[in-house]
Amino acid sequence: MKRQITEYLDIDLVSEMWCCHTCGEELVSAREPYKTGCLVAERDPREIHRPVLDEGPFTFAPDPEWCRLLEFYCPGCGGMIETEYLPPGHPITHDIELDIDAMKRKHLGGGAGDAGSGSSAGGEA
Amino acid sequence: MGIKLDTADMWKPSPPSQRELDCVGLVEAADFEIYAKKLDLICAEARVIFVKMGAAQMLQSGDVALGIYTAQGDLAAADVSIYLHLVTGQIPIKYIIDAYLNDPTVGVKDGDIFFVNEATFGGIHNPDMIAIMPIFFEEELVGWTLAALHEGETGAVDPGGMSVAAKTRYDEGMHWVPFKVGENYQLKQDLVTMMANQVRDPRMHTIDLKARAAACERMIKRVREEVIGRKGVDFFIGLMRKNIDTAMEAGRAMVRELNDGVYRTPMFLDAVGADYGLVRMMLTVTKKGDEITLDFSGTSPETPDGPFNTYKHVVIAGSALYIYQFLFSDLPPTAGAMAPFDYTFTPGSLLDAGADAAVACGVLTSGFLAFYAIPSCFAKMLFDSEWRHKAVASWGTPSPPFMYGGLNQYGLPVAGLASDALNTQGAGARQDKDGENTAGFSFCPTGILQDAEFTELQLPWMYLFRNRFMADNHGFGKYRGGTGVMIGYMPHNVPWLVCGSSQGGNKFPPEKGLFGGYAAMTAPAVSINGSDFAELFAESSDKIPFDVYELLEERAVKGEYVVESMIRPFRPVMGDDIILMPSLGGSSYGEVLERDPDLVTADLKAGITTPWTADNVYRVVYDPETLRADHEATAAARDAEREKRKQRGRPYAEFEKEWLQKRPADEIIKRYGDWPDP
Repeated sequence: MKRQITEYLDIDLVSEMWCCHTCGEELVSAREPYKTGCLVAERDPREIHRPVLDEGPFTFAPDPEWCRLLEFYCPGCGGMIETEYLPPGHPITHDIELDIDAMKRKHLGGGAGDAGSGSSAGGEA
Repeated sequence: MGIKLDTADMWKPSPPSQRELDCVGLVEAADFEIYAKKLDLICAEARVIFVKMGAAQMLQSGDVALGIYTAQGDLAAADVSIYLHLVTGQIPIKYIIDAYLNDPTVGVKDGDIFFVNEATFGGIHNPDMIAIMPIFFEEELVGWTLAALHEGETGAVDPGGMSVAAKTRYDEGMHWVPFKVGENYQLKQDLVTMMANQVRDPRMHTIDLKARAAACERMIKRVREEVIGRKGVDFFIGLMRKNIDTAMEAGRAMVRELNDGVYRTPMFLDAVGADYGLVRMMLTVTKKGDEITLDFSGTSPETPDGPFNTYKHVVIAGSALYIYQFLFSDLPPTAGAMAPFDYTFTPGSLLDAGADAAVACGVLTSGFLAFYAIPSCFAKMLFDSEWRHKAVASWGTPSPPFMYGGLNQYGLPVAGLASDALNTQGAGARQDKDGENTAGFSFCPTGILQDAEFTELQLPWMYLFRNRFMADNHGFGKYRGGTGVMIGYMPHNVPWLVCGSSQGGNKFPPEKGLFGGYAAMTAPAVSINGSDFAELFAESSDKIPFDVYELLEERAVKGEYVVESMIRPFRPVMGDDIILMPSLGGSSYGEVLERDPDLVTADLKAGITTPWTADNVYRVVYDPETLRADHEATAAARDAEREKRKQRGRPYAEFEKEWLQKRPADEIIKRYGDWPDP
């Protein structure tokens, strides 16, 4: 049983795997950061945000000395699962750390419902 | 000085008093529906009174806050207004109850008018000025009313109320703790004169003080007539408590249904005031059962010589902007809605500054980033629930307020904050549509952009333009953020003004996209000194420009072009100088290659997206003459881009090993604290 956690991410509660919502590719254990199952690219933010000016301290684009763009791709379909704007070398954010056991109790049964588990409505992939 | 601002009863509802418990059962369901709405409408009527009477541009734009509170000081009803003020407003009310109610030298009586603008007593920053009045019925204190407004002048070292040059609170002008500025429904003239004497624009200050008091008085009058007069005072007391309890119970029930877990978002700001430097605001949200903790540990240290600091009660109240406007948008905006939330801060950090810190610009900079980390975390909590539609990207960051001082065209002293850029922010994208363009002020969705001609009639400038979208200044995505505009100002009918502005986001995007979307633009400020615009205008020349790109790329106006930070220290702006300020676009939702090609070409036609972005970001193939999208060719171009991504991307572990060896230059992180975790 899959639950859709973001626009492009599912969790398969049986296999306990993060999956790409677009193509179904299994990424990594649901108990690990999903980003560790993605392909990662570092980009100069000016590749996306066009500098209006060629020179000077303020060009209308992020300054690559201050800010880098990280893109996280599905290795199966190449879909963009997430982006992060980080200073160079800043640790990548473990942004979603779900209580998988609580989700399994809620959606797969096998025990008393946890007070904090998710609703069955809305998120089934 | 100061009061305890870190106790939960400052933002959570007080336990019900025996009086409230005795009264809440008197409110039957049908009456509750009718009279709870009546309280909202009473606040809404007071808003009209307030706006019609006031002088500050933010007041005339409707960027205000109006609320009704219980006798204990808990928010019980509110206009759809700046919830930030309504939550912190509980603090000075509770202070007045605690410190003055039984003090024979002060006391609280029917018709008293209290005033406060001191941040350490529950204000936000000292331009935010609040009037508070008690509601009495037959000698019993049964509630409070509050009217708040950002006043564009505080008597600080700079005009405009938000001094970028301030290094401590003592540079920021008037700091009034709660005090009684009026009795028997009348302002005391000696105190009004004393307050007016503190600021550069006494006319505006006095008019707006009266407007606040009038708004509070109107709410008292209507409560007595429309609620107490019809249903009795016991019903009124029970009604307010029920409005709080309803939000508390329904809010907890909703929270209980969301996925337990931990959600994290770092945000970065590239300045701390007049000086540059990268700083971090870190948010870790832990949701368990029906409780949610927002932990801001890991935030950079307070800046000892700049005004981008803020206080934790401001961040707590700032979270209500999201909680009331989005998460619990269908619940009463009362103290009860804050019941599920707890907060953690690091003392001495940017978000938990010391009492002497300068904080004038903090709420719109570091505070704002903290506020806007919240939608990102909650979107990931909400998506797997029946409330998926509430998973939205954040609005555009507060755009740089343009502050000014001098004499106006009538020879009167003026100082203030132009709200144009604030009230034209782009809204965040949603899961099924783009964000609204020039939607308004994210703190106050009911605020409006003030009429241009009316503003020009009152204030000493002319708008060059402010009605063209600023292309590409929003976040790009499957659904893009709403876009903003660039606003051009020029002193008019005066020889000069003193002007300045303050905002980060010049080198590091202050927003982030949601679910694979890109951030919005880092738009700087632009000036043209000694322009020939007046000559073009007199000739009705067809060279008169309509947007910033036309100015920068075609140099349609002659003069000295200066592209600079939005942190613009105050300086004289002469009659032929032009000041340009951007309003910033909203954040995006989803990845760019999923955007409907027809939406991209529609944006090309509307001047919202540039051809460069359509080609290089959205990968849309279209006819440049007709701007009609070629769907088949676009699909092929996007497939090719996805293949490039797979070539470009590297396995996480391999990437991370190399990535973590990098580090910004020491000069960039001089204000950051310990790298990488302050």
